[in-house]
Amino acid sequence: MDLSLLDHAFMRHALAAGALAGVACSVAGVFAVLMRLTFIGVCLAHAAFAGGLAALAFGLPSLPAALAASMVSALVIGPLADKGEISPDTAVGVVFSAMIGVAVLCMGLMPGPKTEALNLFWGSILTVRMADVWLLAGVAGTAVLGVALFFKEIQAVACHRAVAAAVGIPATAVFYAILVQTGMTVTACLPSVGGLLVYSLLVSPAAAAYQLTYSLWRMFVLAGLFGAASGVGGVLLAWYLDVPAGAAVVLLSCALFLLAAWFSPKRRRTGSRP
Amino acid sequence: MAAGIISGGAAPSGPDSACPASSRAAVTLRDVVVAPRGRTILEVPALAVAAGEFLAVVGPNGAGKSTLLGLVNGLVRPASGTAMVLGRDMRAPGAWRVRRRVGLVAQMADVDPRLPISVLETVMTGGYGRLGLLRGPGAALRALALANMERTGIAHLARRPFGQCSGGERQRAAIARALTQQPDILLLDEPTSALDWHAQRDIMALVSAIHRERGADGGPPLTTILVTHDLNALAPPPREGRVPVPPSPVDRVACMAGGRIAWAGPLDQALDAGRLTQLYGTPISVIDHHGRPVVLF
Repeated sequence: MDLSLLDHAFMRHALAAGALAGVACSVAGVFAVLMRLTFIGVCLAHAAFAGGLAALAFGLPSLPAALAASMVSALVIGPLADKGEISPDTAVGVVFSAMIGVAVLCMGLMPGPKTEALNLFWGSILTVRMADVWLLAGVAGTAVLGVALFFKEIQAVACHRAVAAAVGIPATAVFYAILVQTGMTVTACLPSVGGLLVYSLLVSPAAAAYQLTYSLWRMFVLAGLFGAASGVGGVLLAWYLDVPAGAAVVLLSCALFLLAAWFSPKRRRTGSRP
Repeated sequence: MAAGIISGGAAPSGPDSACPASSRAAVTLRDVVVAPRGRTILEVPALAVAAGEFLAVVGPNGAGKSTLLGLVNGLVRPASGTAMVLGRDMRAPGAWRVRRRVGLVAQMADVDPRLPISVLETVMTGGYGRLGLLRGPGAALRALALANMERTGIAHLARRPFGQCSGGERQRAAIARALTQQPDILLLDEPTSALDWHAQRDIMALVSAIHRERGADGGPPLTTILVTHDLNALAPPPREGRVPVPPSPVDRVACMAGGRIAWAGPLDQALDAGRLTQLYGTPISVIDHHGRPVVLF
């Protein structure tokens, strides 16, 4: 195998970013899939994207603004979804359209070329800096450490949130910690994967793992592996086939999901083939 | 128990008999109002449940029965009044910690069959609250969970995915989980709904035995509050041949309607055709079947 691609610093950064983004997104995705909160992932991703663009429009650094926007969205959407005040579909519709509106407005306000703004939209994994890789490493490490330290609480809340609350687990605190972690993950992935594509990386690896196991810790491990494989594999496809890296990452994660769904023992057990 | 709100518990009475005679109360409610979004859904002038008592709560849909359980468990916060559970003021900061000592068996009808959690892991969840953060579930909790699964007849399901259990098996797992909490109060929210008749009888026999055993083994008594639509489940089960059946564990029945306790008193007076007809707003008969009251509607 030709490993000359590793001679290039940008490829080493891209591969590391792909693997770390895959792991970080997959861990957050497990919560989203299990708790049926994928709509919150959509909202947080678009909020981070709009926040980043708003900062660029005013000449400010994009990532802190993206993080702030995703945190504010989490703190607004979380209670709404939590208390059943508004349906998930409605929340997605309102926040998604509002954030797209903010993004388009900010892009319109930006003078000159909009390369940096478009990078937040599509991501540019082949141009990530070492600082972005360290940020992703920090987020992925936090996610893995959090799962290791609070596995029993996470399992209880992710599988039976109402029961977890009833037995005296601080379920609401765990829920919001999950939202915050998801917001941090989405923000850290903006430079590499982009605000539009990160949602797929958030959901597909975790959804693929969900098809294959009845054990939560195995689901975390499989999701992390699928996420890392999608990130690294997408970058390699981009190198060898000369295709856009972000799209390759996302399509690979979707292909992994389709394969997992097809070979899922859960599907065979219920006998419901599509 | 708070003085002044206790009246003769066994005496036939109206709402005031929501307070039994007892030396110690597990639950004391006084002038409690629950009003989410400004709409009053529960209003209890006075209710005391003695430690070790078995209270059954019946009433039509929307009567406030489940809200009452939520109040005792700390999942529902009163808008006003005083709610004391196991000596803790439920309006005070940190009141949620009382949940570690209150087991709740709720209906779990909507469970994803692909959920990545086994029956044993579900039962062990009951002990996580008491265990606290950053402490792994060790062998002791696992053994306790397995013992409670043995007690509820589901030890053979330990490794089965929880979502693939039948309704009756889930209810047994929920009871085992509540027992793993080592609770001082056991709350049961329609534990027999959606179950076949055999499973209903088994679950009620299990609940009765658990309540009775905790009272008899010299440890702290178990206070049980059962919400049910199945009025026939409250009476002792029918005798099978010459085998004697234990009496009903129910000490008192509270009839709820419109968010209030309309009547509370002993079981034999609760199963009254006129009272039930008025409570449910539909003609109800109570017949005697070999000495056992049977409710018909």
